[in-house]
Amino acid sequence: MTTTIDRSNAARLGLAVRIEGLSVTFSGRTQALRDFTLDVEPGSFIAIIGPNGCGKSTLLRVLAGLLPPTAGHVSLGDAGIEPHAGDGRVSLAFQQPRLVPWLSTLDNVALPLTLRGTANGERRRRAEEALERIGLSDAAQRRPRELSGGMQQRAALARALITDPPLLLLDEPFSALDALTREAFDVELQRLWLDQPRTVILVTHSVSEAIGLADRIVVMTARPGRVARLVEVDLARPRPTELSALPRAADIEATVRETLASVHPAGLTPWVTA
Amino acid sequence: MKRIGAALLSLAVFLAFWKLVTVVGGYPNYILPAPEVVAERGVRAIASGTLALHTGVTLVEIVLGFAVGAVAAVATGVALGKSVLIERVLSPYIVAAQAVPILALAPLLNIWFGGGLLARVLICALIVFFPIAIATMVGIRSTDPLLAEMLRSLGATPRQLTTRLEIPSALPVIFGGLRVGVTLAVIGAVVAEWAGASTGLGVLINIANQGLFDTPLMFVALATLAGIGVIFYGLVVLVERRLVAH
Amino acid sequence: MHPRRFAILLLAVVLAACSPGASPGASGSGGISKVTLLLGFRPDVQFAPFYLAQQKGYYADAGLDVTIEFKQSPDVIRLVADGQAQFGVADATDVMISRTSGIPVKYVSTLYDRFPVAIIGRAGEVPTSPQGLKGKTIGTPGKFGSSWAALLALLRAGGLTLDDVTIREYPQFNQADGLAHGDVDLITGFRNNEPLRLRDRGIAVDELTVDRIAPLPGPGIIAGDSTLASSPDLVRRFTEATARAQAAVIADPDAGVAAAEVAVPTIREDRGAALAVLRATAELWKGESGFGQGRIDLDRWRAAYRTMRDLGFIDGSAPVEEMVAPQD
Repeated sequence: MTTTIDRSNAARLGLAVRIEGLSVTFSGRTQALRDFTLDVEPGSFIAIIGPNGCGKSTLLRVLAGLLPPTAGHVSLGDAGIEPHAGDGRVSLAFQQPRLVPWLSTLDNVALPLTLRGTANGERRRRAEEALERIGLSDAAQRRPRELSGGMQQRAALARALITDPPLLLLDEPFSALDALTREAFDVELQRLWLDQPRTVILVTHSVSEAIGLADRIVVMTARPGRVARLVEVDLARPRPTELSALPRAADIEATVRETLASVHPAGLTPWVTA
Repeated sequence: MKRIGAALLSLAVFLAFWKLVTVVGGYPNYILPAPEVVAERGVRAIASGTLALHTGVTLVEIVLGFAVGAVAAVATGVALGKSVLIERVLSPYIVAAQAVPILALAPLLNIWFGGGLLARVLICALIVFFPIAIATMVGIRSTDPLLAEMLRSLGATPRQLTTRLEIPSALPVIFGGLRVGVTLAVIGAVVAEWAGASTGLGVLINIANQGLFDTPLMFVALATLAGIGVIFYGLVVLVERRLVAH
Repeated sequence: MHPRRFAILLLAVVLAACSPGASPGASGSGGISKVTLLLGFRPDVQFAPFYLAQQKGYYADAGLDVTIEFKQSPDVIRLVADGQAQFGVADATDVMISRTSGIPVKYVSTLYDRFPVAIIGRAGEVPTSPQGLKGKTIGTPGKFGSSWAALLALLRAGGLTLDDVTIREYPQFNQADGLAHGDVDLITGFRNNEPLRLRDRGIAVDELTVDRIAPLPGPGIIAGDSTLASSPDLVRRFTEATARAQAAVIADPDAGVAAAEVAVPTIREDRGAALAVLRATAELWKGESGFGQGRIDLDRWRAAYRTMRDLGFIDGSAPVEEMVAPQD
């Protein structure tokens, strides 16, 4: 019924991430991240949660090589290479699907391969596989605007996975979806990850989503963002959708919420509580 | 079918209105010929081969001038759209060149470039250039920055960013420029011919107007130019429909 | 209201038809007739007689109030024929062609007794007979106007056809630039214009004139059939007053330049050049036997008519008598 993760296998498939004293300042004024330090084990699933504007998205952009650090050091993998855009080992899925409106779903999913110059036949085969894995085969020839929001986000996920990246960065990819669709996504994401473990860093506003998916939850402070607390989620996998029945899960949730409340003294709770 | 019907109906209304103006105004043929007079003159011009001779030359000028002008304009527009520096340096000259009346410039261009087909194609291209270059620049600038970031995260090179994202997303706006440009190409060809040519519809207008005092023949040439303009515009719209997903 | 504007207004509001009223013509009060003269070239010193006649009261003496307007030259003939203006200045060759194509105008008075168009080229490079044109590249404004007619008449006189020469067209009338640039061997041009302009640029030129080889009448005053029918007296008064002013300018070119300066201030920028142009122009007005007061040489018209017919410009459907209305 339950499986534990084979860490030795995961080490082979995932990419280690080392973040040391990372600070990012925009236009020399707004500080998004300050002295952020985090070690991510290869093949582990990390959820990052924190108040709005605490620099979660900024962190993912740095990891994807879209943004240079102002200070500090970030390295990926054992060789410790700094992130750079187009590093084939990293995929970033955004909050919005960001599909190219004039390309078919298939061509959108195949886009990373197109940019790399992968041969037509292989590109097509792999894109069809990726669509099938995510249950979108029927929509292959449709344009993004003909797809529902959930299907668009699925296609975006397929696009992120088509290169089989050892590091997958997810920037609240399901936040715009309704609760049911979102739940289905979480189940699917867990299945995909169990099928093919890799390092995943998921930014989310949902405590329950974080507990349902992650090995570790990073709770961040308000801007400028730093690590407020690391919470281990030592729950067996696959995890059920309804976690509140598990006493251990309830404990973890309480810890996360307590930390969130402490980093957000205004008492506002902008994150999803469901 | 319905579309053709509507077009024919509007043509009939236009011809009826034209006829009415000639009847009510009592214009002689050498001032404003009636449509049937022009039609009859047109039939004679076709039968004698005059119209085909001049139309063929003008068509070549329009097609080459539009092609050269449009390619140069899209390339320039992309550069202007991507680089604020290039825009700052070049745009005053481009705008100034557009503000200079081409009618005054054309005779000089005609002499500089040897007075042949090359000169006429360049004059035509020059007229076509501006609206397409500006449309391309505006289109490139309107690229969705979120899509650009997505492509960069996938490792797209600057060249790929241009060919895969910026140009395709600018296409609807570029086609707006091409629609204007193709009608200007017709004017450009005539202006070029007026600057120096021995055949072409612009020349036929001159011959009919100044040489033969044959106003109906001049109207035949004008109607042919108008028809060419409508057809080329339609072709651009057709290509646009195929390339741009609405 | 002008009946045609009225008609268009009527159409614009989609009303019923109306019938055009009387054609507008010379009108006036107290014996002064208001007339419009159309000139088909840009304002310049060669129009000095008209300016002088206006300024010195020659027209007023004849009971005329003359307004001068500048139009595209082909429009001059059409507008005069249509009665929108009473008089115009046009090439005799254009009058022949437009009359043949059914435009009701007549040539009523000669302005240039010598045909003003010549073949012009660099000194020493201009043939002395039309046969010498063979193989030359010739720049001309286009296949229209008196220059084109003169060129074809010369070729024909030399036993040549268009196949024996190369024609380059300069529709902006800048064929002199083509000659200076070396693009053509010879150009057609006005003897009171292009040679002077080229000499100004330091280019010595020679001319091959048309008069002796293929006589053609020069530019003159035209009037519409309707004006000639309704007010023959008006036509006579206008042509006589103009001829008087022309004679005055021939006698005193300085006075002509002064009158032109009033009407066209840019002439002041190079008064010397303007005087040279006007002197050259006066020579063309006078002809070989002296100033003819606007007289029409019917023999030359008949000869030119045959030439124009042989060259295919006219088909002979309108007789030469319909093309001219001598005032003497």
